[in-house]
Amino acid sequence: MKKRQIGAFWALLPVLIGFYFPVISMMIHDGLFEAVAGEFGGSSSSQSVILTTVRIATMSAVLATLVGLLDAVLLAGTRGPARVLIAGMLLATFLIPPAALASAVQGVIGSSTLRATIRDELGAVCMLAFRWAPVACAMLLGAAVLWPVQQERALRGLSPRVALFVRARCLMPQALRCVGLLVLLLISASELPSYAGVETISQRVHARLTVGDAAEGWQLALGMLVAVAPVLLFLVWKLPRSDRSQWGGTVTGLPRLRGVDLLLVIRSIPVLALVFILAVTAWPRASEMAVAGSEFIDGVVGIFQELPRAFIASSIAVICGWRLADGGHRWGLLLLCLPTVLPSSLGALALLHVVRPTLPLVLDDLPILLTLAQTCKLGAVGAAAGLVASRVIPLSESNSSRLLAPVTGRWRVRFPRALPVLLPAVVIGVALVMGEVEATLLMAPPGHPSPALELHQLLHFRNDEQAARIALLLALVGSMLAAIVVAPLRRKDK
Amino acid sequence: MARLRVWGVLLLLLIGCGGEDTRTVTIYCSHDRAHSQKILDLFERATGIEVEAVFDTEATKTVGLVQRVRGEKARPRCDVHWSNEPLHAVRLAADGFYDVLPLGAGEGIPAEWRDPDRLWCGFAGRVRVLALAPETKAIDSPPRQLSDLAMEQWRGRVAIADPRFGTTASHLAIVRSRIGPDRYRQLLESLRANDVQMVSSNSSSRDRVLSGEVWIGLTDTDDIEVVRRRGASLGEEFLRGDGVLLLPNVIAIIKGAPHPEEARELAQWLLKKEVEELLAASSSRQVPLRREALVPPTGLTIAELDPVEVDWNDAASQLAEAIREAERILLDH
Repeated sequence: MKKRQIGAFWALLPVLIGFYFPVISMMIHDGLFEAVAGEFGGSSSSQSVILTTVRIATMSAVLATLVGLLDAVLLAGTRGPARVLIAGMLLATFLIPPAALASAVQGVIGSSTLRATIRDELGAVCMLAFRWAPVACAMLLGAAVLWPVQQERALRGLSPRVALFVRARCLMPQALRCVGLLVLLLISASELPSYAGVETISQRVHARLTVGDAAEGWQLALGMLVAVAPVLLFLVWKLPRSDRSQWGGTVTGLPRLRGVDLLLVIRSIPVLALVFILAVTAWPRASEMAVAGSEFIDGVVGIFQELPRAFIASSIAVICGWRLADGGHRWGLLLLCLPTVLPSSLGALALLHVVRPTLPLVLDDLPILLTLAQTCKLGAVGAAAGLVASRVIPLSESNSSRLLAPVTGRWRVRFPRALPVLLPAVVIGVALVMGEVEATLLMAPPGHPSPALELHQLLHFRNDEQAARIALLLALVGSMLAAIVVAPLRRKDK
Repeated sequence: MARLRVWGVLLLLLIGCGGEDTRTVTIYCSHDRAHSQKILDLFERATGIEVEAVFDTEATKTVGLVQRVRGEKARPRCDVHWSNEPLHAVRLAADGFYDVLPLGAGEGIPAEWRDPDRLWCGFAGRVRVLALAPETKAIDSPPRQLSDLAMEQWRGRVAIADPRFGTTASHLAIVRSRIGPDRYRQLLESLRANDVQMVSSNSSSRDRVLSGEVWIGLTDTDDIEVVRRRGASLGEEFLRGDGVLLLPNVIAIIKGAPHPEEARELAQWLLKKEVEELLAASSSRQVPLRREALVPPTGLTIAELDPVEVDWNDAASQLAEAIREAERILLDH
């Protein structure tokens, strides 16, 4: 084995320990391979569910990327008031579980108003697309730092409207990868499609586990992997290398277009309306003030307890992705991406069965396995971010850094240069971990706080006011995270 | 050397985190958090034993806590399992996950609601019910049994939760156990032919009735009660033609539980009459299994419902097949 491959091996350790080892052990234990020998891909109805899932995920990813691209181009290519605030608002609702949003909206305008728009596949696609569009926007805003300074200067010399179109075209390679990443992330989404009355592969896998037919569950998951293999290959394909990237796209010189300001204000209205609805629902009656206050404080404590763990899970995934991309290990990146496709509960159950019994008892009270499971789930985010970030550095600089000692060149030169892309990816990962429910329910130690899980429990029994309080807090955290992504991109010249 | 000291201190802290000064017990609970948390708080105050609870959520369907119990078989973390539907608990008992409950636990609860080997014991339950839209034909002449939902007058007007999960799956398994596989399949075929709508959960089924999308939604009594207490107007029908179906909560102690003594205390405490009364008075409007338990005037008593007797073991053994057939007939058509 070559030295360089051994050097990158550690970056695969989290997915090897947290996913491949337990999952393959479970597959053998549950008799998957005998089942595959009999009938691969399950019955024709299962194949149709796989196709539906792929179709919904692809259409949602394309639509989300189009909306995100529009947002990103308008935010990155024009000057105007409160851009950071608008970007913050767009990501604000991403942290709130969809059930909370749907419940709040239904509570105010009535579900009969919505029913024409949210039922069936079209409804599922629309809801998924508008929920995930802010993620596409954040990714593409991050990608905007890839542009060479000369190109950025040339754009600012064009007429403002033409410049916007050119910017959109320049972002197309990243937008295509964004579609690929979103397909992988959306393929295991079950909550919103289920709300729209559409069955996806995650639900069918859950149903198989419920009746104790794990082998068929694994078989379906494997079928899913085969179906998305082209997307996986596309995602880890080479991106064009930049000549010279800029850090901190400056506001100076950007045009100011009144039409764009108006468009962004209109785009923000649904978010403002949602936040307003949540605030109205959350506001306690006079007799409930003390209880609501203590709930609010508990919510804040819970969220801020979870944030560091989410940050660790996301950082590990992103750093591993970058390390593999920096070394050009395309197969490693593929291995990193695969766990994203499967429902979290499958990986989590495998970890519970195979790895947990081998750990010392003292570690049971710590959310180590939960963090590992969520790190594996973020593999595709890490791989995509790593691949894009490794292209930030101009070829000449990259080659020069490789003349240094490998560790110095990698961690002292190339890694700091990749941070403008890696940081937004970490923030997106944090948002995903904060909203994750499946692995959390299966693996979180008793007493471990999980605002998203708590929110689901409250909503099921229509404790709408308490749920709205937590949802508001999550929206606030979402805004703060978005500000972290956007603020450096819009930093003014010193 | 300095680094070694730092690591040493960190290791001690880590080990220190695992130390236990107080008595604790861990419960996996799929009953409504708002109500069960209050009950567990009362137990803490009464005994001084600290309760660490993990609550379920509908977002992960039934894969949640039951799968967690199964996944932790090699080294259980849970002491007491409080399941809000009986069939998965019966399956766990059959698969050897439960230990014997202490003698005297659940005294007064009739034998039909408990395992003969004392591996589980039911208490306060909910009833399967039809939610009926006000000011519709459904209120005037409601269906009396499941097969009535296949009548032409209800075509496209009925919603049922995903038949593979939760109490709907249990309901269908019990129906299959009672009427046999052939009539069960015929029933499903007739429901499909009548354009019954499949929705994600019991609460969605209720919500579709509330929004007027359908006239009838198959759901549980607690789902109806929570919205009624918020001022919503909904009718209900207990399907007396089939026999009223009551699905009790179930308490069991996990085999190899890390805190067996505390687990026995908690199980015994939860199976007290007072806990059933608390659940009956809550907005989940549970039905106490003890006839002598006090129920508020708006509550439901077991005497007035006269629920149908269920062979829990047979129904649990039919759960997988009932779900498969429901998926094939109702979802994959």
